[in-house]
Amino acid sequence: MRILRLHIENFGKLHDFDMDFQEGFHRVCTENGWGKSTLAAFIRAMFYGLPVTARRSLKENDRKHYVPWQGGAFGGSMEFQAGEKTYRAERFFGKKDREDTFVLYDLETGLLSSDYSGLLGEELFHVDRAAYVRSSFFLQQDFAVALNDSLNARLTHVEEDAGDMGNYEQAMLFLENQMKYYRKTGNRGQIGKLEEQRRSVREELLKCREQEEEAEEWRFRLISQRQRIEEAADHVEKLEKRLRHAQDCQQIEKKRAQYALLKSQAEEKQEELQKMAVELSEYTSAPPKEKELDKAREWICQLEVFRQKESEAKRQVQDAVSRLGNMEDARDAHVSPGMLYGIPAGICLIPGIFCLIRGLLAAGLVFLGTGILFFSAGFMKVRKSRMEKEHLEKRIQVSRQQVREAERVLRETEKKQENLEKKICEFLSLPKHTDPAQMERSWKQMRRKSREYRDLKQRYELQRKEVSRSRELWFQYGEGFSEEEHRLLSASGKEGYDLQTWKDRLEECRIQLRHLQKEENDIQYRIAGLQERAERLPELEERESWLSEKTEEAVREYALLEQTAGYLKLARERFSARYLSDLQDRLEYYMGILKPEQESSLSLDVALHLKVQEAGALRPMEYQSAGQQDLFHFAERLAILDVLYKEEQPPLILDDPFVNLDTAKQQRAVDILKQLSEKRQVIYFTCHNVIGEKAV
Amino acid sequence: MKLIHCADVHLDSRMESGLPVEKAKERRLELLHTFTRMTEQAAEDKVEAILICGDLFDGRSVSTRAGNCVLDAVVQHPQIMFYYLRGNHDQGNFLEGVPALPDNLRTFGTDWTSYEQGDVVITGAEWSGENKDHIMERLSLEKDRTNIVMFHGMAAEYHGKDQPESFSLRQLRGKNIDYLALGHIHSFRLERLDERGVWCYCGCLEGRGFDECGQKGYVELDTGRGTIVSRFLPFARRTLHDVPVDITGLMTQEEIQRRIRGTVQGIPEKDMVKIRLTGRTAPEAERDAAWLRKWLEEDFYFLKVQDETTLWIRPEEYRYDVSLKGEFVRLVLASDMTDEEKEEILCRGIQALERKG
Repeated sequence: MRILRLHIENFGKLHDFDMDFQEGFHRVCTENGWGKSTLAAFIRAMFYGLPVTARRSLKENDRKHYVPWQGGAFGGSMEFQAGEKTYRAERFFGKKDREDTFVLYDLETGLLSSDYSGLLGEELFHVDRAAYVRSSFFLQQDFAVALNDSLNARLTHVEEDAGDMGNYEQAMLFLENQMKYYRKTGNRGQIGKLEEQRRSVREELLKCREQEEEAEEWRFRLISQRQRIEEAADHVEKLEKRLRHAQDCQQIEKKRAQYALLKSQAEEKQEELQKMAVELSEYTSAPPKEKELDKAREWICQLEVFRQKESEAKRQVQDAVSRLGNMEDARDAHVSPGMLYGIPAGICLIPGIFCLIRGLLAAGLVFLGTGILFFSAGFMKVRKSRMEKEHLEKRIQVSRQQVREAERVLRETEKKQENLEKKICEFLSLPKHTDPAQMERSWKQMRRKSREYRDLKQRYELQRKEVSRSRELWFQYGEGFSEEEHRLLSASGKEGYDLQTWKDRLEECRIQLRHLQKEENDIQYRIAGLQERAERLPELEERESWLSEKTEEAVREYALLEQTAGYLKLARERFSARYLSDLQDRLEYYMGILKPEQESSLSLDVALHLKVQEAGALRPMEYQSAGQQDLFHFAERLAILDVLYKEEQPPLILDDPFVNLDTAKQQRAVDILKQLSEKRQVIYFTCHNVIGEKAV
Repeated sequence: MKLIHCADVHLDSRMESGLPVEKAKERRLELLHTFTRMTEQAAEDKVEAILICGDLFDGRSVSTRAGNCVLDAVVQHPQIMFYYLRGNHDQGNFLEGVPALPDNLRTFGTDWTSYEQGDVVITGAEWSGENKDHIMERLSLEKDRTNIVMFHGMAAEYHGKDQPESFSLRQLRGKNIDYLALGHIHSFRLERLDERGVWCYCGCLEGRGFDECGQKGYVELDTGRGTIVSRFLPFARRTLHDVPVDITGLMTQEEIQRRIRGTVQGIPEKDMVKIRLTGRTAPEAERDAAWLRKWLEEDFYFLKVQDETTLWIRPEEYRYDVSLKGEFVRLVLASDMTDEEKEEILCRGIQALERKG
């Protein structure tokens, strides 16, 4: 394969730039800053496009790095020869890869060609961009060769058959990414997270278990605390009992005193009662009652009334008799007025009749009239007198009746008086016909006695009741004693009780009991708190179990991935070992040309790491000088080129790579390039004329 | 007379099914709720007694909520007599702080204790290290009574010394037992004890892990005229399913999805499902358990996908394979790892090598 011509529309600082390339060794010798590296990057971009990356660094982001300074279409074209045909590839770039365009023309026909696609580099050289750069691109001070899949695949020449060597890096990356998911540096990653979570849960679980244990311990303490409380309560109970006993004894003493008091009171009252009984017995008979006395008093009053009545009756009798006598006297003294009028009437009437017989009429009439007048008057008087007499008679009769009545009343009064007097005398035990004053005195005396008696009797009764009550109280008090009290009563006085001491001791024990109960409450509260926290145990155990399971799974998965990656790496190494001998041979060949005086041998591993065999040990390249390193890497690159590209040879691009070499070695390197340019195109960018000229 | 035989409620226990924390918490509450729901159902069904044959709680720590809830369920149903026999998991005593036991709660000691419940005699004893060798011999029951015996342990024909929780069924034969109510095994099992009686594990009320799949509930006993009729009643809030899915020959996730879909059809959404991928798969086959779980998890309360497939790889195919894969397969197969490890590594390596893009 050979590049024929380049046209750069715009690429970095290069604008509307054209360059033709000669066959074999082509030198581009310009001053610094001309744009050699840009041109080299353009060639690379023509084959492989510009990579897509989010990196901001210009060094790592070609698309950003080579954006045209002056703007305009970003890209250009390249004419090249591949096989027997010549093409022109046109590539233009946008800000993003999807805006990129690629067109290929067959220069013989001038028509579009589909022989190659946008993946021109891959299709021409069968290596990816990275492999191409690592093998065919010789940048200044960047000779080191790193192995990648494409390079590896090309080296092993099996990509067409197996294809999987090309996937090694991707597979490893996939496995590493998976491993990174599980474990990252600094114990990060899923395993770290899970372990951290598990550690945290375990700590919590441990705390919970400790709390459960603590709760259990506290439960034991609670049991012993309850025992202590029980003991203390027993003690309190005993003390209470003893105190009660002491109080009972004290009470008994009081009761005993009370009993004795009641007894003495009852006895005193009994004595008093007996005295009263003696007093009462002095009364032969019971004095009349107040009612009787009142009756007697009434009698006395009645007697007085009767006496007054008797006097009155007697007076009335006397009055009646007197009146009767008077009336009888009046009757007896009553003279009929007839004579008084009859005689004159006769005196008158006889002369009148005489006169009339004599004819002395007038006289007769006068006499007669006078006689008649007398007669009439007499008649009237007589009649009146008769009527008066009758009336008097009647009155006498009435008066007699009144006398009789009065006498009857008198008699009755006298009888009643007598009876009453008799009753009173009998009542007052007085002889008959006792003077009412005496009666009064006697009655008063009797009443006094009666009252005294009644009073005594009443007091006696009261006393008797009092005695009875007292005795009852006494007996009841005695009967009210329990057996224990009886026992105590009989036992009391044998021992002394310091009630206050017992009270103090009891109070002390009660305080202790309360203290213990408070402690018990505290313990229960503490247990409840611990219990509440310990209740999270199942949840934490589940969580811990889940986390353990997940951690184990993750660890196992990580181990499996690690093992897988290890086996895959080992497989690749074994598989890659097949091309190592070719590489080693070509490396020694080129080293023989570049540094014939080299005594030490170079060793290449499957990862294309160069080591120098010196003083019996393989030493990494870092031990060598910069010039030596460049030389060794140059030789390695050339060896890789020989092994890598058997068919289509990509042009070799060198961007002033030999600055670290001494003149002799530079010359040798250029000689080799010349030798190589016989088989492939070599484009050599440099700013050193000497080497360039020599090379040309 | 109706009675309920239940056991192994395991309140406050941890969930073994790999549930996320929140769901595990929810399941613990569901355990508690199922227990209270059972007591309510018992009250509705005029059940006269509930026999709890051990492992009501799971461990030493009884949460306040669980303790109160159980006590409240007892107190709220005074018409039901609760017989509580402690099992090997009932290490804490939730009745410890209770000042006075409810009248309708009867407990047992380490020696046989009998209670009259209507026409039935209920006898029980708690197993302990001290009584395990002689407790069965000490059981004596009246022939003319209907006898229910409560016990917690592993029923075996012979009492194995190496199995501390086992007891011999032989020792219980001919002891006039009509119904041996057992706890300890978490699945329902009913077997004949002797000519007269049967022994029965009612199983747990709710499954807690995928080792407790299938229907869970309690046993309802109907006693009368000297006979006991028992029937198992599924009562769990959720059922756990262990579903094997053979994905032999399937190469893509979509094919596996379709196979799983077809297999889990009919399982209620509220249930918990473990799908076990079985069979032999090619190293190139896609079978991402995590992805499948993600894809199906919305269909059930909880879903777990476990890959138990074996790798279908023939070493002779790679013997002369001149490729990195061939080299890799040969290396791995020649290693001294276990077959399982080899399969795992081969799977990962081959899939990594064959990844596109």
